[in-house]
Amino acid sequence: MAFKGAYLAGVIFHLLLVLTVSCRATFFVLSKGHTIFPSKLDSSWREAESVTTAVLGQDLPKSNPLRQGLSAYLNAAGIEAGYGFFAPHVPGTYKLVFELHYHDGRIEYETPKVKTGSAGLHLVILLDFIGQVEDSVVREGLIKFLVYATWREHRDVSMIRAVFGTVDFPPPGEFERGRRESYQVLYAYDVTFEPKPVPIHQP
Amino acid sequence: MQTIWKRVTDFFFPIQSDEWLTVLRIGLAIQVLLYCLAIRSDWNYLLAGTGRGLISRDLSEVALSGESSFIPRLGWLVNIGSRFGISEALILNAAWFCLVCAACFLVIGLFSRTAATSTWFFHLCAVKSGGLLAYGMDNFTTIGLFYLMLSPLPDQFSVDYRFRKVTLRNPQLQGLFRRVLQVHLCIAYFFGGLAKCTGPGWLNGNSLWRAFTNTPFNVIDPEILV
Repeated sequence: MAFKGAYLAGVIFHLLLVLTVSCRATFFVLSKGHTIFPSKLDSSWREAESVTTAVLGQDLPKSNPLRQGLSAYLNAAGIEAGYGFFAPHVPGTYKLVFELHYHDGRIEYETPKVKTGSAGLHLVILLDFIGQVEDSVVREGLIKFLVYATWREHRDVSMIRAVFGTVDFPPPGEFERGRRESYQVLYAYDVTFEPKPVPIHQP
Repeated sequence: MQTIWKRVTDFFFPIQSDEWLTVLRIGLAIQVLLYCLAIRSDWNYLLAGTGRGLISRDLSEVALSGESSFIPRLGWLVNIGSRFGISEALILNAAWFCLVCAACFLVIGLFSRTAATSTWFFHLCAVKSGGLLAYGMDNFTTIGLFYLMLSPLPDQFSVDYRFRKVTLRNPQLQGLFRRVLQVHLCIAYFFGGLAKCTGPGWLNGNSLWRAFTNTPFNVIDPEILV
């Protein structure tokens, strides 16, 4: 009886956390609009989301041991995020293209490179994340990390222009009529590099 | 009151065989092995610190520290290694090797509990340190490994039971962990479906089309789909 009670308490606590996190994620999705619900409800969803956030201790100061402990548990159990993948709609695909400008005027085009298909999938997730970042400074910073990774492979470039955009695939009806995917530029960032110093050989 | 308690305990503590645990153990171990092998060539590139990889591992770990300082991460291992003069690249390679070894032990069920805990730890470190690159599959693997680590190992098809003669645990605990996993998956699928129901695109088929035609999920030619 006692062993069952202890296990049950732990299980109920765990499942309540799963439920709360799932509710929070759903309220977040609903509060962003573009759903079947009227937009006047958006603020109510936001309030509901803030209630669930408070239940999860995320309103507490960052140094609070309860918040730290709860966050650690959620992450360790893999239950820190909800399950609203592709909800309420499937986002567009983002694409990042680098325009490599060389000192001699040459221009080459390149995309972020990884060796394996699996890492390619992770890269797509990163681009999706960048596309959804609302803070322009954070977005620029993340793209510059990728620019820097490309620059390490091409140290003789004078400037790299990072062009971040979205690939729009037409709906089925338009696809049947012959329309194909199109690329729409969202942001572009120029990063210039100092020319490499020429070593002086002394006799 | 006693009737309610009995119903609750009957629901959460059914007497079950441990076959499901064998499937979970072997399935997750194979999943982790495939994950490791698929990402081997890019492992260091994706998880290296600032200035050495695709995107900084340090950046993900700073964001992680904002959530909690107690979440496992590769930075802990790199810091310990640096005290002994071991390079970051070597530590990252060692973490990959440890993850593969732990998954190999898990697949045959040798030192099952230690193997499950090690697999969970190294996988979680990799996923959390590559936070900006993680996606749903990584999350579900973490969930599975977390349950596996706590579940009543070993199972009757493991090397631990067959050759090391480690005794099996209470069958009611088998039932409990299986039930929790079932309820968790029900919640996940319920909320996954609920969130999609609210999107007009999922009701008229547009989202399904986009899910099939968007990169990198466009494995079927759209011409066939139309």
